[in-house]
Amino acid sequence: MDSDFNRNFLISLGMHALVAALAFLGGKVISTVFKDSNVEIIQSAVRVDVVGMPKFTVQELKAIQKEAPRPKEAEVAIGKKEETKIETEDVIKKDDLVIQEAAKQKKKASFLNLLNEASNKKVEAKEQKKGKADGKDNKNLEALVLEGNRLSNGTAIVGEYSDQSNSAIAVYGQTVLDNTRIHWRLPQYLRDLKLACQIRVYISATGAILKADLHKSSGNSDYDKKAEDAVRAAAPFAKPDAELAARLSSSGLILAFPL
Amino acid sequence: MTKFFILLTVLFSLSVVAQTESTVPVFAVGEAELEKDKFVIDDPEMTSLSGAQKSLSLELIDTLRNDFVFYKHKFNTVDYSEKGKNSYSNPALEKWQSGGVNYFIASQISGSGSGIEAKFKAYSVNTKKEVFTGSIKVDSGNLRQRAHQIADSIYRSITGKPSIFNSKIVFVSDRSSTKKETMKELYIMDFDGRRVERLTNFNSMVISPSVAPDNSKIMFSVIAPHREVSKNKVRTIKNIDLKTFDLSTKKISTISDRPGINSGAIFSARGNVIYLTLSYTGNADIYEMNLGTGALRKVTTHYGDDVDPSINREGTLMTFLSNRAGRAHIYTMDPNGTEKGVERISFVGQFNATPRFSPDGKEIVFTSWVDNGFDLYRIDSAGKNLVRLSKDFGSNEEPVFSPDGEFIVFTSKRVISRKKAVQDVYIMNREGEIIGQLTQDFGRCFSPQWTNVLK
Repeated sequence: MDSDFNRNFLISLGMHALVAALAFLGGKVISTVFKDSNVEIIQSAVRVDVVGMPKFTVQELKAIQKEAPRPKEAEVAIGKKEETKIETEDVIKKDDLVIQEAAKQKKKASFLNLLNEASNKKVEAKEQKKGKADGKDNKNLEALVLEGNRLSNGTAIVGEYSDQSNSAIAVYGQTVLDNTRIHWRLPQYLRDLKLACQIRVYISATGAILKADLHKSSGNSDYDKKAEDAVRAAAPFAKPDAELAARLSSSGLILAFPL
Repeated sequence: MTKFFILLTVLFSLSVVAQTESTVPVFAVGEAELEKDKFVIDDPEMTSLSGAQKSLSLELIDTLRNDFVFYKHKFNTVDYSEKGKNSYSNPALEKWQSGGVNYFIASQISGSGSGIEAKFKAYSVNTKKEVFTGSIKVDSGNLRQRAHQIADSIYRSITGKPSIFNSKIVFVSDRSSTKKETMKELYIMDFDGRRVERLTNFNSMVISPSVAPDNSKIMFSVIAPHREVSKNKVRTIKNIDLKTFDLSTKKISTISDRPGINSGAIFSARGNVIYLTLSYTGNADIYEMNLGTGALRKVTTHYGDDVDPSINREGTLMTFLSNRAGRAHIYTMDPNGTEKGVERISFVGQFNATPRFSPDGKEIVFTSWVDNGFDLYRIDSAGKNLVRLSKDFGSNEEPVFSPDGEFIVFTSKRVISRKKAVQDVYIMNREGEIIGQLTQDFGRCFSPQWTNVLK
């Protein structure tokens, strides 16, 4: 009786071990072959309504971007789900924007006369002002996105995250992006090559980089290094909360350069 | 013992199942900013030069350095203390590399007759390779031309692309006006505003110049007297005729003198056809004209006024200005048909004008009236990504991309008094960073057009 039990037990044990080994090996093979199957692209949904000619110039926008405050390690931990306020904008039909009351025109001029008149209008002489990069302009950023010159978070069309952990990581990832973009620079010859790579970065509870690996190479080591350098220069990032920190330190997040 | 094995097996199996990773999010960083190359043009090694030759040498190097300042969005010229110490014979690239310099230009200048011979070498400091070597003979008559040529050669060897250094800018100025009469004539200058030359002497009003793709001719319109017979009476009226100026023979020919407007003409990329606005039918429309046969084909037929065409390099897309929607707005269409694929791409702005394609046809720069003056804007040819380029800088009009797409020339007007205003040609890079003023005290300047860079 005992010998039967021992034999059956050993057979059962062997079978279980075999199944477990196959599952382990299979998992490894699948994770290698389908490396990106558990990768999910997160990006803010964007809706842009052009409501007028842009108020700020490209140079002013660059100055504002450079002045944007960088998250510090000591900042409040990011992770808790926050209610993201979404400005509800009325959809404005393009033609509505330009149609103004014809009654305002005292006389109806021909198109060519209009062109001529507009060309000859006098303007006050003004010296070129340097790009406004003070705090006042930063405060205007919110107003700026309504003026058609910049992308706002807008009203989500796709990609809104109802899952709490995903929302938290989306918010945190945005801070990582903001920091990294400041350092993401390429010389002309690399920019012209139109390459792309991905860096997987693991972040500690303090916001420091635990590890930054090349997830997908561009095929050009200089390009890959520039991307990795940008990530490393951007650290430390904001301090994640405990739950998010566990996720960021174990599976990290992937930064795609450029997309 | 048996229970232990069972427990071990179960735990092992569970651990495999639990191995599945959580989702890894991907965030797109976006396009990189351009990193400037650190750049040194060293003082030349000079051997046995006279005083005049020495000043010629220094002016040559100054011109070369000044050329590269235009590309300050690409090159960061490095200042340094030890200049011109045998750098041509011994470039000491390690020293430059430790200083973070990417490119190093050395030169050696010796006397050649009354002029000089200058040898140049350009090094990629990182790879320690010589990327350019060349020499030029310079005298006081050709100094700026030679300096631009060598600057272009060095630029090409570094970037693989032609620069604007050999290009010129054609423009119109009213500096020959008298107190009684305003007159506008055609002028041409180097890209940096130097070596200005007058081309026409109509004693009339020249408008809307355009340069042939091979730089051989300039097309423009001029207000010319026409004889008109009406009710058995002959009278002289003013008409806008279209003419060309041959830059090698200096000969002026008439292309179209139909009654009304013959204006706003531009060459196709091959130069064999032109697109222009004609109004002889009573309505301003855009036409295609074969320069060989003179045959006309109507491109726009709308009852609104259609003016200011600009064509992409492939000849597949035309942008133009039209008031067909009531206000002056920018449209695109396929110029190979009639009213084919017309799309409105500007929807805002009180008054938009002079849309001009970038050399690659992907972007359009234009001017728009805002508040109390014109400012420059850039939009892609699909009507997206509208950005503002100028602000608080006078009234800015007539923007045109450089042949390499890196710069925009435009006119900027400032009112000095109730009776006086100045209008000069300025240059900015494509991001709206002002590089400088190209004309000064040269009357009021209009309609700058860039010559093409020949390969």
